[in-house]
Amino acid sequence: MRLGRYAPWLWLFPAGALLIPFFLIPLCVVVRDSFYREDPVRFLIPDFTFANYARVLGDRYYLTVFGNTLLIALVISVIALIIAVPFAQYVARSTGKQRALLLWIIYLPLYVSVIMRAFGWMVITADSGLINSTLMSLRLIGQPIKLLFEVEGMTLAMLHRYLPLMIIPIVTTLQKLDRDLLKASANLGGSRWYGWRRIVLPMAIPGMVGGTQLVFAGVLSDYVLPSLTGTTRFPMVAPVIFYEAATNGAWATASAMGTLVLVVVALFLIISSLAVRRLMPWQRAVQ
Amino acid sequence: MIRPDFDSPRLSTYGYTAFVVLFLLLPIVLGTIVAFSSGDRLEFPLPGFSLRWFHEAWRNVVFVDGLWNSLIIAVCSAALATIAGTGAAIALNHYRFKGHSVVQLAVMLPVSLPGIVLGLGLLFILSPYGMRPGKIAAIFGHATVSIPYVVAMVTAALSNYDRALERASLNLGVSPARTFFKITLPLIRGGVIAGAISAFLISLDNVSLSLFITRGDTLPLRLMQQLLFYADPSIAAMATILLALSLGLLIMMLPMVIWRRSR
Amino acid sequence: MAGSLYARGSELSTAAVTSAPELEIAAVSKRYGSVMALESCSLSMNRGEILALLGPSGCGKSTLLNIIAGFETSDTGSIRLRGRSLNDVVPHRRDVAMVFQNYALFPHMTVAENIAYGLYPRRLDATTIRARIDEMLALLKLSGLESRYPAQLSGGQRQRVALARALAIQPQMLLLDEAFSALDRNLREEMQLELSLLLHRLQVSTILVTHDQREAFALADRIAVMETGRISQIGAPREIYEQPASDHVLQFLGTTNSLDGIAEAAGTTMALRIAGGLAFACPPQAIPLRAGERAVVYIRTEDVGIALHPTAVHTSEPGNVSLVTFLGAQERIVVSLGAQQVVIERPTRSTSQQIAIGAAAFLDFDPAKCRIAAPAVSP
Repeated sequence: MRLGRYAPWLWLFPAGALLIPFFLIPLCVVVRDSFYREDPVRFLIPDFTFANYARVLGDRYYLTVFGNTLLIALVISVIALIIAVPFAQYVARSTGKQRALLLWIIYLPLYVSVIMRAFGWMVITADSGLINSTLMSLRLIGQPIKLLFEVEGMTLAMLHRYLPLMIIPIVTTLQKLDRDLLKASANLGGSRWYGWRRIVLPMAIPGMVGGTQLVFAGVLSDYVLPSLTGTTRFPMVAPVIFYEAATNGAWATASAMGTLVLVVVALFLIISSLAVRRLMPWQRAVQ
Repeated sequence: MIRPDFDSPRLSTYGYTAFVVLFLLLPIVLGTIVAFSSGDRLEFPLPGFSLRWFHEAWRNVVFVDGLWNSLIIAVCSAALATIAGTGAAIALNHYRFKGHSVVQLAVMLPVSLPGIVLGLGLLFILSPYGMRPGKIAAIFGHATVSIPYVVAMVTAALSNYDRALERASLNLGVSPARTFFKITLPLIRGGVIAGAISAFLISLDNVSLSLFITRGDTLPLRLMQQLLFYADPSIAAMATILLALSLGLLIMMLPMVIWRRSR
Repeated sequence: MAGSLYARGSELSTAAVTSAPELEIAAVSKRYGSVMALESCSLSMNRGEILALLGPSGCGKSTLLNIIAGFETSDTGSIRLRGRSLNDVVPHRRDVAMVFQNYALFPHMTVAENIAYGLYPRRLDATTIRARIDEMLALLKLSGLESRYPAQLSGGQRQRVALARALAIQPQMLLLDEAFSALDRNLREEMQLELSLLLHRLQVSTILVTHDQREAFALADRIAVMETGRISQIGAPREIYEQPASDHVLQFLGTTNSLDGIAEAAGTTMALRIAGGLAFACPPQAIPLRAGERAVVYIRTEDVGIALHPTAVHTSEPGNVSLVTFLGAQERIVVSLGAQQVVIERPTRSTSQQIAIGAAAFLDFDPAKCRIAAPAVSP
């Protein structure tokens, strides 16, 4: 427009200078290295073999790791979705100071150090932490419930971390909902529930899917929370990848696992985006 | 505009919202409170109130050193990410070109794709690039994953301002370069600063990349190591200091976020 | 159409009109903070009538409509629809279908789904719903568009869908909230005509809210002119136009000249003497004015004309033609009288009968059509 056809590419240059060498290439290298041969001395020997994948997908331990992580990712996605929708609706309809406050509260966990949040959950779920102290002093339980360093505690911590990521896209989508549509629905005889089912929910789909994408991908690749609040009896994929690469020096194995995680996330993103387009034919109708 | 009465939330909705708010805030609040504990270990309720753990944290060379490293890395990577992200946002917003949607996807991808895999990849390519694990590598790595956040903030600012102002400037004879610096940039300043702060905080908090490309230098990594070894309130104290820093920056960002979101 | 409940329209027109009004609004008030949006408004409507709430923005017409629909609650007063009080009824049980200014069509539903939206909560079976949709499509000339999405429709088509959706539930009353303001002028007038015919045929009681006088006149059987929260006058279009109950109504309808001057009495008439010597003479008005007081005369642009020679009774001195504008079917002539100006609108004369700028012109008017009043209090 101003500097000719190359103008946009000039603007994109700094971003490209970072993304290509520090994002695109590393990911390609990981995929490539997953086909290399493992060597205790030199870490990797250029080759083309499926041995790493055979090892990773054949061994029960690794399969358990993947299964665990997928399960937790799905569980948290579903729970986060259920919790987020009513809350996001409330936020989308609030105004003024209350709205600003709510948005603050939603954004805050994202910007607060994950260590701090993990720590906070440890305080809540530890044997001498908030939950147990309260329940014991109310004499509801005799012995502390084991939450910390168990799957349950880890799930709670991860839910807390990723809930804002589910809430924000849904709020964004619901904000765009024309208030008159809900008035029209009531005017035509639709109860609150009917209006919610037929208007709010369908129009919230892009937000719900976007949020689920973020949460699923995040949980799947989370390192910090499983390490700090989880247990080795329920291994998750990110700590295992790090362990293989850093402690074991098994770079090819780690690459294979990493590639698989990459593939799963990519597939999930693609399928969910296609699903959205199928579920929303009216979007395509806008010519 | 008048808020329609027929639409008012029910009492149960208020209760539910309060519950979710509590859920979101509790760990942060508790983590901060524990930093003021006078006890020796992680417990709640607190045995007493004391600032001793702040002294401990501040005297802990490992922590302070880590904080210093992290701050340097965060500032530099935020600078890089802001430049890259702002440029990308302007390219995507102002221009139509072939490959627009591909570029848009590529720029936002670092958010969704697993950080752990990227960290692994960065580890692998460090020596071919002639880099060693450390601050420089971390700066580049963190900057790259922060780009999507900067792009999001700047894009929001771009969609809120009137391009007619730019056109008016050009019409009056001001060159495109000067127009950018005198008109565009000040108008989207809010978004750019918000993006920079986001990039800063993300870098400060990053673990999955730093794991691979530093030698355990950054504060989050050192805090984590300490946590795994023995969880005591000095970690909480350090984290609280971090929190104060983050909050301070966020408060600066406040007017820009609200203005953007209240549309 | 067999089973079509709109066949009842023809039943109604043959049945004797009952004396009980369809809608009764009594002393409704609404306050927002320190602003009185509605002040003790009352009106009643008969079945099959089209009533317009006409007034400038801020007069409270939309507030009243929203109160009828249930989206806002009144502070005082009551609303009865067919004898049933609506005061405590939730919006979704009121059976008063509304067409919104921007139509509020559900963007994620096709035309057919939009039309059918209000039918499902009424527990109708699938066959009836299908038949009702077809009936509405035909009635509003939307056949062939049932699978389109609102984004694919033109403005006029969207309005029809909004109407079809509202009428599909066979409401006791139809509410139109500035339903034509989104259309451009030609389409608007076409739609107004169509809608007027349709509503009368179906005998649907309708209230429409508008600030456009032409729209109100084109559609309504009766018009309620509103101003700052009150109803100034209710009546048939002709009635309120020719016999406005207040200066506000007079000025709001049609284009009106207002001229300042001094009142003087001469026999059985009051006259207004404008600086420069011209006098408007009118029969005594309802507002008693004493000679020597300041006064204003109101006269519509179509009620004053140009006479090339002084007419015996009504004008004494001429003014100067200062502007002649061709408006198509009408022409506008502005005559200066000293410091004031009189605007005249009349059907366009042929070129040979054109008046020249600067020419001296006497004003010719019908005394029955002008109104002398005390000057309006300046804000």
